[in-house]
Amino acid sequence: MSEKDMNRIKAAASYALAFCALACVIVPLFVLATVSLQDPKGSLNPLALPDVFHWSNYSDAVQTGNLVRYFGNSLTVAALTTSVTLLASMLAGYALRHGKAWKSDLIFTFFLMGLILPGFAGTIQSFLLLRELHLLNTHLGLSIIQIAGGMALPIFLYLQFFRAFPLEVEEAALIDGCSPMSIFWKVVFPLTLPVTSTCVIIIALNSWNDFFNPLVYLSSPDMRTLPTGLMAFRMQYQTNWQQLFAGSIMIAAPITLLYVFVQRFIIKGLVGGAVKG
Amino acid sequence: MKIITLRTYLLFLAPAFLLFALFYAAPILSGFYYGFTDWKGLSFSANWTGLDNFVAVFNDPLFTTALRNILILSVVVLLVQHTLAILLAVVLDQKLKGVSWMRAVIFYPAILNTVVIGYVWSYMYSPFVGFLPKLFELLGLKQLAAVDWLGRPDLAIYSVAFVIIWQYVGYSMMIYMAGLQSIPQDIYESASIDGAGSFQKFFRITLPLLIPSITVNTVLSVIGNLKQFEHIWVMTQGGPANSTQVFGSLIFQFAFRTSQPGYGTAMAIILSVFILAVTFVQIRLLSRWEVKN
Repeated sequence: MSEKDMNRIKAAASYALAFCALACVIVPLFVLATVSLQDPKGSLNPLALPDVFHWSNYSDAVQTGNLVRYFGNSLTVAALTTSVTLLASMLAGYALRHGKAWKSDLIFTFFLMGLILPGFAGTIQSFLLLRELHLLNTHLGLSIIQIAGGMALPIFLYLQFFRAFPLEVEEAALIDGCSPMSIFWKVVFPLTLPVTSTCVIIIALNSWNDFFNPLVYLSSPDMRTLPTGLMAFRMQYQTNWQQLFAGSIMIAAPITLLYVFVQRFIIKGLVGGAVKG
Repeated sequence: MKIITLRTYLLFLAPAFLLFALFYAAPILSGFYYGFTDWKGLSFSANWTGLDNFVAVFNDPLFTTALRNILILSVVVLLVQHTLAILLAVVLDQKLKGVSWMRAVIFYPAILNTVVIGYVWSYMYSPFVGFLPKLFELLGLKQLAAVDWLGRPDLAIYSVAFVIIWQYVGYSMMIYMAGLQSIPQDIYESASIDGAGSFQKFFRITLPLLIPSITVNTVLSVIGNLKQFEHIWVMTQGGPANSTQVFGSLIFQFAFRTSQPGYGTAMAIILSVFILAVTFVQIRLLSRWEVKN
C-alpha cells in the first residue's frame, strides 16, 4: 500500500469518527427542537419534524412557567455573584502573591479546600446561617453562597497570573513613590483583562446553570431562577413534553446565542480554567 | 523589597477570606462536630452522641448503594469519556474540513444546563413515547425497544453515566487538545524519519506527552463524579427503588425530607474524607507515572 492510500484511509476514518460523534451530539438536540414544535395534544414523533410548527408551545411555556420573571431572577443572581466574586478573588490573589511574610501559603491552601470538598456537605449549616441573617429565600443570600463556593478557582487563576507578572514593574512604581493601592489599580489592574475574562465566563456560567443552591435556599415560587423554575414546571405538567421542551429551549437560548457569537472565547475561558487549575 | 504593606495585605484579603470562611468553610467544617451529635437541624444546638451516626451509616444499605454508585460513575466515566476524548482530540486536531465547527458542536453540551440535559435524556429514554424505544422499533429491534433505561434498577445508573459522558466528552476533548498543541511538531517529524507509523507515534509520543493533561482531566472528572448530585436529581431522584442513590441525593434527602441532618452530616464527612483520600492517591499515582515516562 502506498503512502497516499494510507493517508486517504486515515482521512476517511477520521471523518467517519467525527461524523459519529457529531451525530451523537446533534440527534438529542434535534429531538429537543422537534418535540418542542409538535402538537401538544397529539402523539409524539421524535424522529421527524412536525407538519405544522406549533409555536404556541413557546408562548404557553413562557406564561405557565413564569419564565420572564425567572429570567430576571437568574440574571440578577448571576450579575451579583460574578461582580463580587471577581473583585474579591482579584484582591485576594494579589494579596496572596505578595504576602509570603504573612502566611499567605497557608491561607492559599485553606482556599484550595473549595476546589475539592463538596459544597453540599455544609448545606444544612449554611441554611441555618442564612436563616439567622434573614437572608434565606433572597437572591442576595443565594449569591453569597455561590460566591463563597465558587471563589477558589478564580483566586487560584489570579494568583497564577500575578506570579507571572514581572516584579520589576511593581518595584519601579514603588520607587517612583506609588502607594500599594495605586500600584494595584494603575499598574497591575489594567493588565488583568485576559484572566478576568476567563474568570467571568467560569463564574457567570456556573451561576446561571446552578441548580442545587436555588433548590435549597429559595423556597417561594416568585424567587426561583430558571433551572429550578423549569424543575417546578415539570412537576406541574408531568407528561407535556412539548411545552417542557419549549421552555427548555428558551432557557438554553441566551447561552447558546452567546456561544454562537463568542464560542472561541467561551471555550478558551472554560478550558483555560481547567488547564491551569 | 515589599510591594504591599501588612495593612493592604489584610484589606485585600479580607472580603474573600471572610466570605469563604463564613459561608463555605465554617458550614462544612462544623459538620465534623454535628456528625457526632443527634442534631435536628432546627437550631445550632445539639447533643453529643459519639460514633452513633457513623455506626448507623456504615450499617445502612443505602450507604453501600451510594458508595457503589459513585464508584461506578467515576470509573465508567473515567474510562469511556477519557478514551473517547483523547481519540476525538487526536482526530480533530488534524486539518479536516469544517473541523473548528465540529469541535464547537461537540463541546456545546458542556455549557448547557443540567436540568435541560436531564429532561432531554429522560425523554430519549422514556418507554413507549421516547426516542430510543421508537428508534429501536423502527429498526426492528423489539427487545431493545422494550427496555426501560431509567426504570430498571440494574441499568439506571449506567444510563445516567452515559448522559454525563455525552455532556462532558467535548469538554475533556478540548483540554486534551490544548495538551496536544503543546507537543512540539519536530518530535513527530524525526519519528517519521526514523520510520515510525501512526500507531507507534500515538503510543510512544502523543500519549506519554499528554500525561500532564490526563492528570488534570481525570482528577477533575473523578472529583466531579464523586460529588454527583444534579444529573441524578433531575433524572431519577435516586430511584427506582433507591438504585441510583449517590451521596449528594442521600444527603439532600436526609437534610430536607426526612429530617435527619445529623445523620446526613455524618455521611457528608465520610464523603469529604473519601474525596480527599482519592484525590491524594490519584495525584500521587499519576505523578509517579509522569516521572517514569
